[in-house]
This record gives sequence, structure tokens and C-alpha cells, in this order.
Amino acid sequence: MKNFRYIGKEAPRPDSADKAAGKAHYIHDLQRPGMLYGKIKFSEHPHARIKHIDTSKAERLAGVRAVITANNTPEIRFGFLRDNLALKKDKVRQYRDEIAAVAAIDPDIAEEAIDLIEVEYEPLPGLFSPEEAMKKGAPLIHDTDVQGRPRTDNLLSLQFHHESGNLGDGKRASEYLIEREYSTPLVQQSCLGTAGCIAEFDMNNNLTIWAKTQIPFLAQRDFNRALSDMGLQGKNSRVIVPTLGGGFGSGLDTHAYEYIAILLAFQTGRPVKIVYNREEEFAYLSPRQSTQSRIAQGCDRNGKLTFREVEVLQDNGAYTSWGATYPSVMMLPATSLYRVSNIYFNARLVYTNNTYCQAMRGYGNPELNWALESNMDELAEEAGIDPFEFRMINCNEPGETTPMGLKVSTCGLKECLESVAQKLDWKKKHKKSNLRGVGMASLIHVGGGGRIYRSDASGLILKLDDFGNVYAYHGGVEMGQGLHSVLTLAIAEALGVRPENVFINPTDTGTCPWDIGTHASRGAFMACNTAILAANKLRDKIFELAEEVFPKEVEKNLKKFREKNPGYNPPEFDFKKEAKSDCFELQDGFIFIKKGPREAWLRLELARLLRAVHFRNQGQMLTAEVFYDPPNVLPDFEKGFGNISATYAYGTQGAEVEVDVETGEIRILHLVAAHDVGKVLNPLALKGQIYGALAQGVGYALYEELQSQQGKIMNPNFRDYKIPTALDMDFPIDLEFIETDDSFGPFGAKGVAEPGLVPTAPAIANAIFDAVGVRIRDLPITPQKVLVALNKLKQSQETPRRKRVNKGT
Amino acid sequence: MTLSNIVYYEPRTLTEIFKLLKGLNSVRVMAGGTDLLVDLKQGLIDTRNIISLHKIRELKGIEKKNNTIKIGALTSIQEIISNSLINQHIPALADAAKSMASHQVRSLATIGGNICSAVPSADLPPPLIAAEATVDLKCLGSSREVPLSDFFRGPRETICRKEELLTSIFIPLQPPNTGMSYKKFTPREATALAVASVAASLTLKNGVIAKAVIVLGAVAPTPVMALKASKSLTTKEPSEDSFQETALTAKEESKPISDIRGSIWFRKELIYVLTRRALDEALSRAQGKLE
Repeated sequence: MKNFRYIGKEAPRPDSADKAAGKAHYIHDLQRPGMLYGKIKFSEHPHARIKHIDTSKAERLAGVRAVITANNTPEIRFGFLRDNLALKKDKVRQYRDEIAAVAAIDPDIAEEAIDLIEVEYEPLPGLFSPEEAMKKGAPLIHDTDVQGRPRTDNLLSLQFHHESGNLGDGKRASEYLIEREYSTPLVQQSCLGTAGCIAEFDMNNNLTIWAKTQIPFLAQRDFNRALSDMGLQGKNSRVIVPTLGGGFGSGLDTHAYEYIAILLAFQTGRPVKIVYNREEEFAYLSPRQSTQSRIAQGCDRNGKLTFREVEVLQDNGAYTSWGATYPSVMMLPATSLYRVSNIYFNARLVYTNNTYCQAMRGYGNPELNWALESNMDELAEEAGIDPFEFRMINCNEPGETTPMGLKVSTCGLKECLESVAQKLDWKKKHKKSNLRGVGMASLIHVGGGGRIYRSDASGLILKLDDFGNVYAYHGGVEMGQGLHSVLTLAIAEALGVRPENVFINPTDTGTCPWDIGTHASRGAFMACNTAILAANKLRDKIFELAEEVFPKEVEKNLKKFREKNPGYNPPEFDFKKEAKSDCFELQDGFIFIKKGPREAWLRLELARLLRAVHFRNQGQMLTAEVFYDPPNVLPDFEKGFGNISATYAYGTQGAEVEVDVETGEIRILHLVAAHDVGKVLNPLALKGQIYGALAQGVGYALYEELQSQQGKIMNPNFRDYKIPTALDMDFPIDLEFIETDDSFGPFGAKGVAEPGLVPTAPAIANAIFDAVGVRIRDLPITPQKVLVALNKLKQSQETPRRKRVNKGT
Repeated sequence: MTLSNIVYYEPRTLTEIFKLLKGLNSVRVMAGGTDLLVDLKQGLIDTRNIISLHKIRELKGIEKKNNTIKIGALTSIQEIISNSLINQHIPALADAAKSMASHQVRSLATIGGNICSAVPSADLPPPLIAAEATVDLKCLGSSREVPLSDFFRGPRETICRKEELLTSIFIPLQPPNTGMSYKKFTPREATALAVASVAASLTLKNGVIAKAVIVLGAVAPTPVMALKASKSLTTKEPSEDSFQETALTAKEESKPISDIRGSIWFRKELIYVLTRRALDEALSRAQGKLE
């Protein structure tokens, strides 16, 4: 692997000091002159007809500037299937449906006004599980589709399907076979910075919106469509992304509150801010889907996988977001984690009157990985094979093309598995039955972009100033994951300047080139690839100009040097002759001649070159722009085929746990995470990202569940919705990064943003099984579930024994 | 709901407070505010007036007088944790305090507030009841001292009258060879309410249990004494068997509900385990084996 100057070296993130000091400005901190505060009236029923809305009292309240409902505003449709309305008209389909909104001069008045709005409902029967919603004759949640055609059931029209090989052959070839069902709960992204936006119109009716989003350019498209719906055809929206306090997928869609802020801003002619408080964030923002999956797998006598059958049922909630396309990512592990031929995969999505869901870190992968990697251990147990050996037998390899058509360029899965086994002391600790146990689980994820849209591209503009500083305009979103850190290092490395001279501008659709969005672990992969391309372009320009500037300026250098050092004899080197564009090198902001001697005077500061060409007659300044679309394809999801990413990330995680058999409490003693990251860009940032992901993975495994009763969220706060605290992460964590130097990756790197939480839960569940012999198949693994399972296990162990005694007497 | 329509009082003397309590109609007293403000924001309670106690110095502090430890109602949870009198005489109360919420909340929240909020899962009442604490209820011109075990009437309901203020908590110094323990089950290490909790106090005399008090938390509308279980231990020699039997009795005596934090079955199982563990620790402390 190449030696790098900045890449791979620990560097503090450029945004961390401001964030630690409270100087970063989140949406909550932003103010606009004359700004009003918006507040939303949400439905009090999960499924009901709206009979009447009385806003008269709210309108009369002093300080209220606007009260809107579907009755006095244009209809704005949005969502992945455009089945959602900014303000609901005739019917509510979930507790959080937006019925009315107000704008007032302060947040308290807005809240008071909301309480004065009276809504008359006619309740309808609710459907709160996919099973209920799929029953024959179940009430329809949506009577028609977006085109107005009548619907006949509650299933979504989206199809995600894959078949390869022959399932029957696979089953016949199986010596061991296991079929089980698994489930995952609703989970909240739990961003520390809650959702919000400020919408503001200028006098030409163009919109500026400060939005907490991960998809500024798709949001621009959505908002422009909304402007059109409002009768403002041809008007534009500019999306500015403030500092984000976390995204985790919650910014992959546009939201009703954003359209409501736009409507209120247009109606009042003043900027309108809507920010969710914590309770609203929990109850009214879309969480991660709940899923149920059935997995059947088999293997032959030698432990080779013979087939895999996967069926997923996903509770979509009442409306459809991008998150409904989770199965597009579930296909990756279903078809391509470990080598298996003879595959069946099918996913169904069902409308219910539960809260509608959206993307969250991992995007379907943690859900299916939970089922698959639990099932791998169950099959290994059935076959009497060590789960580590079982995984090694079926391990993916570089160069393979998987049944889904994924082209595996590099693959460090074997190294990851071995690293986890070694760090857990697997051979010594596995199957010890002393209330302590070890478990592991692996993952595959997109690591080179993820094409789920017709473009998977990302652009970058680099601008140089008179002082040798580089300004980057990039459409990707820094949301706390460290994108700006690696982009800074990549630009510094690729161009040859110091990281201190690189500045990343705020993401703004008005200044930055297009980017599909910061999702699919693509941020670093895409941004750093654009950095390399743009730096090359810029350096070519610099070196071309240096041909002319370098000899003159270096001559001056030499003169000065000689004045200071009389008697100095310069080495034999004709720098005027050697100063050709292809002979230069740029490092730390200085231009050298590659093969020249490294004399202090024999170099040109980039800033001097820039000033020289700027201030001469017909001067010029340097910028470079690139647009990079990675070499991947948009898969056919109905057939489940296509190389969705340029490269794939692999990883294995391991856990050692101890179980209190009296209370069911689980104590994690040790976590190990080994990830094939291609190349470590910034070890400090990467470690932080994996530590955070592991905490989120531990939350998914042991604590987190948004509890919904008849469609209502019962724990909308951090007291009752539990994410791990620092005290719950108080155990040793070993990280290992496998560098496979991927040829598509910038500096060899793959994406690694999501993988850190994907296999954590099954690794812990497998460790619990190893410790006490109980298998929990529905997340989260609460002490209560473990205690119930332990009791059942005890009874089943006692019952046969008693029977045997009876026989004997 | 918004707090803008609430009148906020910050009196400097107890007399002023008593007058306000008597004169105002819709009124709540605020100590640390960590329960009250959250409940107000969530619309769980409704009030027109709030009287803050935080300027009343005399309600703060812990002192020993004769054979009693007096804790001012406004003493913060954090002060209880780091107070040497408490750690020396009733370490179980410090344990309970340590298990609460987070450092930030503990610095604001007070013992009086924890008692008066009367939440079934509150952490301080069980060890206080096990230590036979009493509370002082004062109003204009009169005061009464009642055992804490008689103080609670239901979830968020106490015998404290509208014009009364809980000013102090009195804990009698425990007889020699007494050990106490507080055990609590939470789904995570910090910022978690008890799913079930048990406080136990054992007094030994000549190797025999002279007195036992077992108090259960979060498994009934109020903290409750497990009377049968407590009684079953008196005059017995402490042993694994007797503790197990007592724990089973406590489990039967508990009357939990099922909610998002745990089912009836699970809570009863926990009472069994926690009672045994609390008795074990109380015994070790009574025998001087701990601390």
C-alpha cells in the first residue's frame, strides 16, 4: 500500500472543537429577522374520518399569525409513493397525522393555539399489525392509489424478490436444515439534535429553507414540486443544511413539517421555524421499521450451505417513505453473505395504522442480519459444527460474483472472522457453559456507493484563494459522522496542501454541486473519490502555470538566498530547463521539481504562484469541478439482480456476555469488532464511528423498542425509550481494521458508516445462547424475555427426566 | 402545555410559604423541579401557581441530634450520597440515592421531592420506611410527625394536606447489629426507573433475628411493607433456607401491575430474587462484614 502524508494518520475532526464549545449552530440556534414559530396539531386517533375542524378560537388568540388546515391550503403530496399529504384532508391513518398548524410570534402562543383547535372525528377500526392488515376483508387504509385507482388490499405495490438455483435441489442436498422466525422492533434514530427547519420566501417567491436533511438535492426537487403545487410554478427552493446533531437516516426523506413550514411562511410572508421537541421527535418522526422474517437454511455433512430461503414481512405504517425500500438492502445479506447457491428471497410490505417508518442506519441490513446470523448459529448447533468454523467454511472470497450479481472486488471477511475468534479467545471460551458465553456474527454491506436511484453521483468544486487556501463545495452532509474530516484529509493528500488550509463550506444547494444524498455509507467513498479527481484537475492547472511562474520566482528566491548567504554555491541543477508541467510536485503547499535537489530556495509557495497569476494582466484564479458517478448499476429489485455498489464492506463482531439466570440480566464483558474498511482514512474518526455504532448496536440488541399500543407510542422520551448510557458501555472494546486496499476506493477505502451496528445484536444473541442455552428471536433481548426463556428451558429439561423416572417405576 | 400562565413564587421564609399554601387555590410546591416541571410540560398535572422552596436555607442539610438523623426536605440526592452521617449510619439510603437518575438530575432533585411525588417506583421511600423514618408536616400554626409508612395513599397521592409542607425527615439511629440493604432492578445502568425494588433491614440479637423489615417498591400503588415476610424472619436464625422462604412470601405479598417496564410475572420473580439478595447484604452488614 502507498505511503500517505495525511491519510491514515490520526487527526482531530475540524468540527469537533466548535461542537464541544457550543459554538456550532444547529437548527435550534438559528434565528431569522421577523421569524415566526410554527406548531402542528396532530391526530388524536389512529384511524378516523375528519368530520370537522374548528380553528376559530386559535385564530382569535393574540399573537397568532396564521392557522392552516387542508381546507385553506393547496394540497401537497409527498413521500416515496406520494401517498402522504402535508395536511390531512378527509381521513387520518395514524396517531401522528398532521391536521392543522399555526404560526405565532412565540413558541408558547403557538402551543396554546394548537390546544384551541377542535377536531371532530368519526373513528374507524384500526389495523395494528401486518397480520391484521393482510386479513381478507380488512378495512382499507388507503382506498385508492396515487393515480386514483381503487385498491383491493393493504399490501404495497413494491416488489422485492430474488430466486437463484433450485430450492428443491438445495433442500434435498441438505443433511441438516433449520427453519425459524425472527422479529425486530420499531427503533428510533435518537438524534441528539431533533428535527426542524426554517422556511423563508423572498419577494420573488423563491424559497430558502434551512433543513435538517441528508438529501439536500432530492429535497430541493421535492420542495420545488411543492412550490408548483402551491401555484408557484418555476419558482426555486434553496436548501441550506445547518450543523446537524445526528442523522442516522432520519434525514433521507422530506417531512410533512417541512411542507407545513413552507405553507405557513408563504401565507404569513415571514420566516417560519418548526422544531420538534423530544416528545414530538419520538412520537411524530418516523422510526426504523419493525420486521418479521422466516429463514430456512440447510447445509451438507461438511457444513457447506446448501440453500437459503428468506421471507420478510415489513410493517410499513400508514404512509410510504424511502425507508420502505429496506428490502433492496436486505437482498445483499440474503443472497451474498457467505457462499450459498439455491436462494429464495421475498419481501412484502403492508400498510397499517401504526406510525409510518423511514430509513435508519443500516437500512434493512440490521433487521435481516439479525435473523440470518442468528439462524447461522442455530444451523451450526443443529449440525454440531463450531459456529466460527461454520462461517469459515462458507466464507466469501475476493473475486467472486454472488448470486445477486454483486462483484466482490476485495473481501476481508476471512481475516475479520479470524481476528474476532482470536481476540475473543474463542477456542478456549466457546461451549464452556459457565453462564458466560461468546458469540459472533458477520456482515456484508455496500461499500462503494449504493445505486438506488438513477444517479449515484456526487460533485465537488475546489476553489483556491490568494493565500493558498482550498475551499471545498461538496453536496454531501456532515451530520456528526466525520465526513468533513476525511474530505479535508483527502483534499490535502490528493492536492498536496496542508489540512489546515482546507475549508469545507456549508452544504447548500445554491453553491454546491449535486449529490444524491449522504446515505448507504457512501459519504467518505464518494467525497474522497471526487477529492482525488478534482485535485488532479487542479494540480494539472497549477503545474501548467508553474512552467511560467516557477523559474521567475525561484530566481528571486535564489537571489535573496545568496544575499543572506554570501559565498553559497548552488548545486548543479538547471531549474529553468527542468521546470516543465509534468516535472513538478506539490506538497504541503509548496511546488518542487520532482527530481531536483531539496534546497530551501528551490521551491515555490503555492500562494505566491496563485497571486502571481491572479494579479497579472488578464489574470486568472483557479477552480476545479468534478462529477463522479461510481461504476455500479441500479439493480432490478423485482428480480433481485444487479451490482448495486462498486465495492462491498465486510466485517465480523464478537461478544462475550454473562447472564444472571435469576433476573435474566445480560452483562456484556467484551466486544470485538473487525471490519474490512479497505483503508483507514482517519483512525481517530473511524474508531469514534465504530464505538458509536457499537453503542447503537448494543441498544438494538438489549434496550431499544419504541412501544406502540393501538398505534400510539407509549414511551416517547429518553426515560422510557432506553439507549445505552456510558455506564452501559463500560467494558473493553477491541477494534481491528482490515485493509484490503480496494481499487475502486479512494486511497483504497470502502464505506464503513453503517456496518458498525449491523451484526452487533446477533453476535450478542449468539453469545447468550452459548452462555445459558436460550435463544431469543425477537429484539430487543430484555431480561424479562431471557428469564421467560430460561424458565421454559428448565421446564423442558425437567419434564423428560420426570417421564423417564416414571417409566422406570 | 406551556408554563407561561403560571404564577411563580419564590418566598424567603417558611411563614410566607404557609400563608401562600393556605391562600392560593391551585398550587404546587417545587423543590428540585425534576418531576414537577416534566409533569407540567407533559400535561400530567395542572396548576396556576408554583411555590419554589429554593430560597429556604433551613430546609437544607443533614444533622444528627440525640438518636436521630434529621434530613431537610430540600437536601439534594447528591448531598445524601456524599454525606458521612448517611454513609455511616444508613448506607442503604446512600445506595438508593446513588442508583437514581443521572448526576445532573441528582444534583437538583431533593429527598422531599422524591417522597412527595409519591411515584410507586421512587427509590428513597423503601429504605426510609425500612429504617422507620418519620416525616414532619408543617402548616401555619401547627405541625405533625407521621411515620413515612403511613404517608402514601396511592400513585402521586399522599396524606399531605394542601396547606401542609413536608419539612424534614427523621431517621432513628438503628439499634446495634442492624444491617440494611436496598436492591433495585433496572433495565440499564443509569437514568432508569426501578422495575422492582426491595429494601431490607435486619437486627440481630444473640445470633437470632430480633427484627426484620422488608419494603417493596414499584410493585404496588405505593411502597409497601411485606408484613408477612418481615414477620416470618423474627426469632429465626438467618439462613439460606429461611431467606428463600421469606423471599417467596414477599413475592406472594407483592401486587405489581404489567406495564411497559415489566409484566406482573417478571416483577414477582424480581421481588423474589431482590428480597433474597437484599437480605443477604443486610445480614452481612448486620454482622459487620461489609464496610
